[in-house]
Amino acid sequence: MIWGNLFNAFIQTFSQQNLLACFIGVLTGTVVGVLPGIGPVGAMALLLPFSYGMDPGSGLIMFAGIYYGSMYGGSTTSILLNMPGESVSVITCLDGYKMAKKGRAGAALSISAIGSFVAGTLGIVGLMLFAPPLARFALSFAAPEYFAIAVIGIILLSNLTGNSFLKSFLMVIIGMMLSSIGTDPLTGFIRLTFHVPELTRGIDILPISMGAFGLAEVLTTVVEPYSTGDLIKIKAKDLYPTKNEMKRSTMPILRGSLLGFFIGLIPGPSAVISSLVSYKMEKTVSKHPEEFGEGAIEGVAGPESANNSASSGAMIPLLALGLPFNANTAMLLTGLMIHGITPGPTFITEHSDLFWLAVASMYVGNIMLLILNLPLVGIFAKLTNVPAKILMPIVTALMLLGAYSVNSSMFDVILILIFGIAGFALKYFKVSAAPLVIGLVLGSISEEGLRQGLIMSDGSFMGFLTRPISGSIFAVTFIMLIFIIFKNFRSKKIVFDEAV
Amino acid sequence: MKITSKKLLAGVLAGAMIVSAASGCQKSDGASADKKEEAKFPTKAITLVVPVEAGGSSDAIARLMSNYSDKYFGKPMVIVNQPGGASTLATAETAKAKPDGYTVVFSPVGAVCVQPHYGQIQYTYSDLKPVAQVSEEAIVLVTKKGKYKDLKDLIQQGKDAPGSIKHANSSIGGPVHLVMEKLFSDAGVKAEAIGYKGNSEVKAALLGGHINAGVLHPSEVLPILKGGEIDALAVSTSTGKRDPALPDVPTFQELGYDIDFTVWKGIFAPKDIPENVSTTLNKGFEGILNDADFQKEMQKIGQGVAFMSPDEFSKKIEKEYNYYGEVIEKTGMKEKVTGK
Repeated sequence: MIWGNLFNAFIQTFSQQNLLACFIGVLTGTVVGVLPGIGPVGAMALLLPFSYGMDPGSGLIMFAGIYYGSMYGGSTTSILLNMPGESVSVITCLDGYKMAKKGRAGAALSISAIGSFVAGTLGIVGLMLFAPPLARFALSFAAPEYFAIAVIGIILLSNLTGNSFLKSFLMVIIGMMLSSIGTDPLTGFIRLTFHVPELTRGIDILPISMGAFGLAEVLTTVVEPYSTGDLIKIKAKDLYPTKNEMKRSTMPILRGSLLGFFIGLIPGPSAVISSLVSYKMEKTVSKHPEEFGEGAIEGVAGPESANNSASSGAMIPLLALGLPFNANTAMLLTGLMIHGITPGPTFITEHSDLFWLAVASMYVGNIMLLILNLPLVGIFAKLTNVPAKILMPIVTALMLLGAYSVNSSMFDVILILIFGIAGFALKYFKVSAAPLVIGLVLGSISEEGLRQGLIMSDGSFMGFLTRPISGSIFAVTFIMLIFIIFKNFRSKKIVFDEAV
Repeated sequence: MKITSKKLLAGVLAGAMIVSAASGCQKSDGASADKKEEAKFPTKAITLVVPVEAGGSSDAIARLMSNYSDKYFGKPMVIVNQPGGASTLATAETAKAKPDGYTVVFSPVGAVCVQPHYGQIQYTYSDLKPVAQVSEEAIVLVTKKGKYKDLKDLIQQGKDAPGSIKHANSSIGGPVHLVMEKLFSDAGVKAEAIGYKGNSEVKAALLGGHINAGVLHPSEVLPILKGGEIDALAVSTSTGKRDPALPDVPTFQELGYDIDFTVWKGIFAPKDIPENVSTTLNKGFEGILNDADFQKEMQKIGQGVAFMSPDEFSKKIEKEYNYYGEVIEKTGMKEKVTGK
């Protein structure tokens, strides 16, 4: 049954029109992924009028291509310029950029593309085989479960970069505070906006990741100029990963794929979360955690795989239930709706042809992306030879333009400048900005989860502990906390140390 | 070798800049105006501001309309998404925009007639000039399949166990939420609202059985209703008749409740636009909305076109503004939202 459907869908995918739609989709996705600021949602919105003329299948193929294609491109600028092309690649800056500085940009880019391909493909296998039961499983999660996930996430990820715990946790808390700005989701009250109308929509991850990572890097090069001579010249054979690098990346790619797929089922910025969790996981299981932050290839392979399979995971609630849990899948839904197709719980049975066409096209699209991205590695890696005085002004302009285009708002540009200066100061004081992103993302999930959950349980905290899933997560959290405290106590390691 | 790679880079980046400039500069094109050209309108693209982010029915409707701009205005229409503050950010910006007709906003009833009552924003309905009503959607009360026989059953549970009913919506304080507040206030039942970020999350909470009731639009309800996973207990329409998409669902009036809220969306311009510009805008949008092809496309996305001329629309807005003021007063919603 599955194989028959899939076989037919493959035949359809190989029609001229569908192949073209797939190629346009993945190419657009790669381009908007590489360009900082502009994301897949904006690209899909711009292409929406063109998709009227297509049949629903081709439209779906194209939009899905933009979505997962953007996950490939996001890492490029993270690795080359320490400037995330998409928020999902924030964490890739940490080790990817260090690798580039050591002349391993090509290897990092290649591993990122290969990891994305493996994760994307595995994600589709999961989507194809388990979509309906997984979607049902996702429905058993409600506010208390999301709160529990956010709590365990904050505890696990707060010391992501392994510097001073105090500094890192402070950044998480500042991130959580930033997440509380805007319209209160539970009462509609406009809070902490200080009469700035633009703040009513809250602070997005985008200006923070562009500012605190990208612009901060630009400002750093102004203060500490490097000439091209400082950079190691990349030879053709250095463009691709060594055997050892491939070997070290294999497990992170597989673990990242698995993690990302399940985290993708969570509403909200699940791809960002999946990349953060994957990074932490790789660092924890690694035999040489001290290399993380200094250019460990695992720190690129894991997160870049995770965000790709998260995008497959996020397709599950959409296709199996008609529920888009993020802006990208909401655009996919719109793309179907303009053709009169509204996915609901019956979508897979009623429109099985479309479902299987989407699945088949994603297999094909991932292969296209791999073929498209691997030769680009050479071109992109050469970007590191371009003098900073030429490159930096161009990327800054691109970044600000892209950020402006999302909400057509000058305020977002000002936000980037503010976070850029803040990020520059943080760099100077050797404080990592990554925990800021964690606080921002998990802050709003935990706030909504806690407050919605408290209404559900009539204000009783017991409601969080008596539900089987959230109760179990809290039990694990508790055991973990005890373990962490005990371990620190035993090794007489002071938690609030300043070690870098 | 170095020169060629530089050239290549320059080419790639220049192309990239054009792409981003094209998508980034749309707004400034529309916002700057030519004084002496006022007699002729439009001489350039009209900017239609969508007050929510891309992806969703408002955005889709706006983009559908923009496809017909060339036909009825002779100029293209540019869509700009400006989300924030329950659609009030873009509405406020448009009210303040240069009144030349090149900036219009596609605002829902909530931003025009409801939000001003909460005293958190700086404009009111009279700062906007209505151009046309575009669409109108009913509001449906839904519950998980088999949980409640009918609306009476739900109300009865609320009476038997005060506070036990938790109902969800994704626009706290808006008309969709007010349906529930008015229902429970009229029935004398204590119930609690849970705000979610989007309708997908409301539907997920509903399908997962985590909430007692949710309020959605017919176009959103139909696919899950067809799947047999929810019951629709009552519908709120403005006509007093049942919603054509849900012929089996009784209206609140039939069940004895005076609830007739709907969510309409319309085109608004700054209030001081010149007379000739206003006439052109009115005619152009009237043309688009009555275009048979446009109506067919709207049908596909589950939206009915509900064209209303500026005069009728203005009267309706004033009436609804006052009506929502009373409802917010009576249900104590202002206190629930602002704490004051």
